[in-house]
Amino acid sequence: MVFHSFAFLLFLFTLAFLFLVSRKSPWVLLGGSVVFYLTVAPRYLVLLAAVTGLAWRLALAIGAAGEEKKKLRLAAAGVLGFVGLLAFFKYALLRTALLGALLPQDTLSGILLPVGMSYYLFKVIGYLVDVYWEKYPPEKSLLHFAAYVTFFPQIVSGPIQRPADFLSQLQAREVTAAHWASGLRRLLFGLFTKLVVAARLGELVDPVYAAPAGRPTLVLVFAVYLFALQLYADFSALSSIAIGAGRLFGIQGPENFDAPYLAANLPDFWRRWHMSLTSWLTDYVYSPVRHLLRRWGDAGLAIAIVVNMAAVGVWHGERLSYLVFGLVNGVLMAFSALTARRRNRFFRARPRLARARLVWGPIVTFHLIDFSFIFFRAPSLTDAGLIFSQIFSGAAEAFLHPGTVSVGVFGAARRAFGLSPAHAGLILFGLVVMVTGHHLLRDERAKARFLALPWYGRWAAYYAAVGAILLAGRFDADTFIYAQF
Amino acid sequence: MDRAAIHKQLTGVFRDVFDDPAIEIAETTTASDIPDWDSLTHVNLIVAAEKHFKVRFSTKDVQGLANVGEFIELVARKMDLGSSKLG
Repeated sequence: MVFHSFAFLLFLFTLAFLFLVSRKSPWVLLGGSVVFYLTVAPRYLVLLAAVTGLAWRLALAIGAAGEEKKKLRLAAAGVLGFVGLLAFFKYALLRTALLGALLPQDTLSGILLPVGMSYYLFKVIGYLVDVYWEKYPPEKSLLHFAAYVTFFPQIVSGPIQRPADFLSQLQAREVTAAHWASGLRRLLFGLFTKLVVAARLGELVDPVYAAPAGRPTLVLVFAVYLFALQLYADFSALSSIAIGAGRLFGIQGPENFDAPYLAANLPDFWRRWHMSLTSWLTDYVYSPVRHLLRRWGDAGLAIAIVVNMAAVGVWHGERLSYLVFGLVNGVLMAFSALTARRRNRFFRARPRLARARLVWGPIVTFHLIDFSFIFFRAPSLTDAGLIFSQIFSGAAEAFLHPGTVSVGVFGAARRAFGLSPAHAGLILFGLVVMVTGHHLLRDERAKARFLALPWYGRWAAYYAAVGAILLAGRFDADTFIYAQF
Repeated sequence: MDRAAIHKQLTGVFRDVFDDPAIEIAETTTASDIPDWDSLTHVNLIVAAEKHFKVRFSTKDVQGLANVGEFIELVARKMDLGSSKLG
């Protein structure tokens, strides 16, 4: 059952109804999450249940242990065990190294990552560490804890909500008409972004990345730019649907994006992109490593950043290109962090340049991240290399022989993609709606202005979105990019 | 060293780390009140405070810090521990 299906909507609203008539029983929430998981990965429900029960019991033991050493031993055992479990399912290389002598290779490489494992294991790992760090006491109720770990809107692809945030809301279980209104708006926005924007962009981008060899430079360049938009649309849609669905149960999930493509520099980008993952990694990977290496000065800082970004990369999978994606970002970020102080001083003394920096900072940052996405999206490191070399040789050619470049770059790209003006217009319309929607989410005053419109004005916008989904949505896009991680 | 003295010296540490001689900190000051105070600069702050007050913080010590008041509390606790060990 994928999020952008009628089956999911039917399931969601039925469960939300049952939740209300059962006087908001956490049992209904847990039961619904179990049913949802059964529809996506029935074979792995036992694993999910075992992880949940074990993490709950371990945290209680950490809380009850008197000695610091015992607490540390329990927490370390839990964290290493869960990290090992994730690595086992995520990396075929590791499975072969461990069990290659016992099981046939086909069986080992045929094991798929259980749906949601990257997300629910991160929830329980963070929980164990927090309890060890005494940020809060362990949760006594297994029911509430299980409802947290298995919460169906977040299990496929996050956002990774922190335990204290979720459990306090579950305790309160406040569901009002305002929760429903904002939840439904967010769901609609998520569905529009997925079905109209992301899916339509995917039609253009996916074939290019599937077979990049021999494509004209212009097509590759446009595919690289459009992929940045596709990924943002696809992933932010997934987060919007998760957040919207959560609100129907009175759970406000964390936001995952904060206008990332307007980031002033690379560290800023990673604070605004997939925020629930990057803030998780900052707390549980970057900060401890940095603290450990704090006497090493700048080298410690650089190592902590590179380790953290390598973790971001390999979290996506075992492809070498994911590691390269993480390392490229890590090295650039380390450079940015190490030179920040000097650069800031330089610009403070030159106000005019500092103003220009407000414009070129985001432009340079976007291009750095967009080109690093080539490693992320290309099926292999070889394909990524091919795309880079074709783009740069084409650019060099255009530079040396400027007469060969068509003045109407957009028109040429549209023709090269075989895109009709109507199709191009549709994508542009979708992008404008998406950007406006994200602006309304970030800017409280703009949101208040929208909500202050007369009801028929707001409903015109909602009906327009529904109409656009039904008319122009692409329903055959089978999954979300981030559901595979 | 009493809280007021730690507060005063910690202000100097903040000014040095964030390269801003005008920074004033209150017990309720949090990372969101100081623009450059993020996860990257946080460790610089910890290292500078460790050097200045001649104490050592564990990962666990610095994780639970919610505001400057708790930071002062932590420094005071560590300095007490240090002096009781010496004494």
